[in-house]
Amino acid sequence: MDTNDLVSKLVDDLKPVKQLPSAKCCSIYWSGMAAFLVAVAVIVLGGVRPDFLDVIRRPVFLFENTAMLIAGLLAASVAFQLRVPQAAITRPIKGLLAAASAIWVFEVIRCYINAGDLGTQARLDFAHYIHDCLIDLTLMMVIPAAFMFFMLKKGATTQALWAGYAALLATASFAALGMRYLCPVDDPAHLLIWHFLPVLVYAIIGPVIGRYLLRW
Amino acid sequence: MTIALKNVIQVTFMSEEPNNKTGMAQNWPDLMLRAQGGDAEAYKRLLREVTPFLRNFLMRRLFNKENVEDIVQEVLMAVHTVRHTYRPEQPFERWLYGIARHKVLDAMRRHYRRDVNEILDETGETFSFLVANKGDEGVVQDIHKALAHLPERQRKVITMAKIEGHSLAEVAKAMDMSEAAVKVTVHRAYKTMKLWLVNNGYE
Repeated sequence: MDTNDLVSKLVDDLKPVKQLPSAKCCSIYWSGMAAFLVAVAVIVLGGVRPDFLDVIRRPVFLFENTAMLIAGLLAASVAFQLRVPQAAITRPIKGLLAAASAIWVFEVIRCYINAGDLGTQARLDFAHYIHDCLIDLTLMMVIPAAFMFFMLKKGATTQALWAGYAALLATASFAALGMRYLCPVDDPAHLLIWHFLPVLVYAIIGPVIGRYLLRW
Repeated sequence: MTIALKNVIQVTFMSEEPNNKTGMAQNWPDLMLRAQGGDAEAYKRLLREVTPFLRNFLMRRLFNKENVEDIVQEVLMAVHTVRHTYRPEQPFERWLYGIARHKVLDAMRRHYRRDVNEILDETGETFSFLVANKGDEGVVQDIHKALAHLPERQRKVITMAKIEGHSLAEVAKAMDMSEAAVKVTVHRAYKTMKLWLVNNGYE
C-alpha cells in the first residue's frame, strides 16, 4: 500500500481518543487501589495479627513498614513513567529504581544480620510457612499486579523490561507490607526467607512478564 | 519582492529540516491535540508532515534502505494506535522518536530472525541436492572430503554442530564465538562445501 493511501485510511479511521492520564495520577490511583486491595486481602486471608496494637508502637516495625511503602510508591511511580513511548531510562528513573531496590536489599541484609544462624531455620515447619506466607504474599499480589499491568498496557512502553521490573517490585512491596499485618512472626530469619527475599525474586521475574505482557 | 523571497527561503528551509522549531514542527503538538479530539483535517496534515521527517530519520538508522517505506508505514500505524499516549507537556518530537525507534528495533529483530531462518533453510537444501544426485551411498564420504577442504575453524564448527550434534550455544562456548557468528560460519562452510562438491561432479 502506498504511504499516502495509508495516511488517508488512518484519517478515515480517526476517532476522538481520551488522553492517557499523567504518571502522577496513575501512581496515586494505583497505590491507593493496591493499598485497599492488600488490606482486603489481609482480612480475607486470616485477619490482622493479634498483636497488631502492640507492634505498631515499635519504632523498628514502623520504620520497616514506612520503608516498604516508600519502595512500593517509588517503583509504582517509575512503572507509570515508563509507559509512554518517549520514556527512557534516564538518571532520575535509574535513581528512583535504585532507591526502591536498595530499600529491599537493605531489608534483606538487615534481616540476614539479625537472623543469626540461618541453619536453625530447619526447626521451622517448612511447608506450613510456605503455605502461610509465600502463598499469601503471592495471592496478595495477584489482583494489584493484574491491575498494574492492565494500566500499563493502556500506554505504549518502549522499556517493557524495566517497566515489568518496576511493576512487580511495586506490587510485591505492597503485598509484603500487607504480610507484616497478617503474619504474626517477627523472626528475622522467617522475614528474610518468606517475606523479603520473595519480593526481590518477583521483581527479577518482572522483566520476563513485562516483555510478554507489555508488547505492542 | 522581499516578502516573496522570505517565503521561498522559509519553504526551502522547512522542506529540508522538517524538525526545525521555526518550521512546521512547531505545529505538531497542536495538530496532535486536535487529532486526539477527532479533527481529521489536523490529523491528515500532521501525518503528511511527519512522513518525510520519519523517512529521513529511518534512512539514517537502517542498513537496508529498501525497507524504509515499510517501516515508515509501520510507524504511522503505531502513531495512530497509540495517539492517546501523547501528552502536551512532553515534546512531540521525543514522542514520535520513541515510537520510530521502537519500530526500528522491531524491524531489526525481524530482519535478524529472517536471516537466521534463511541460513537454516539453505543448510537443509544442501544435503537434499546431494542425495538427489547420487543417492545415499557415497554421499557421506563425499561430504567428509568436502569437509576436509574447509579452513580449520569452519571444519571444527561444522563437525561440532552437524556431526557431533552439539547445540549452537555449546559450539559458541567451545569456540569462544557468539551464536550469531556460529550461524554465519556454518552458512559460509556450507557454501564452500557446496562449491567443492559441484566442482567434483555434483550438479
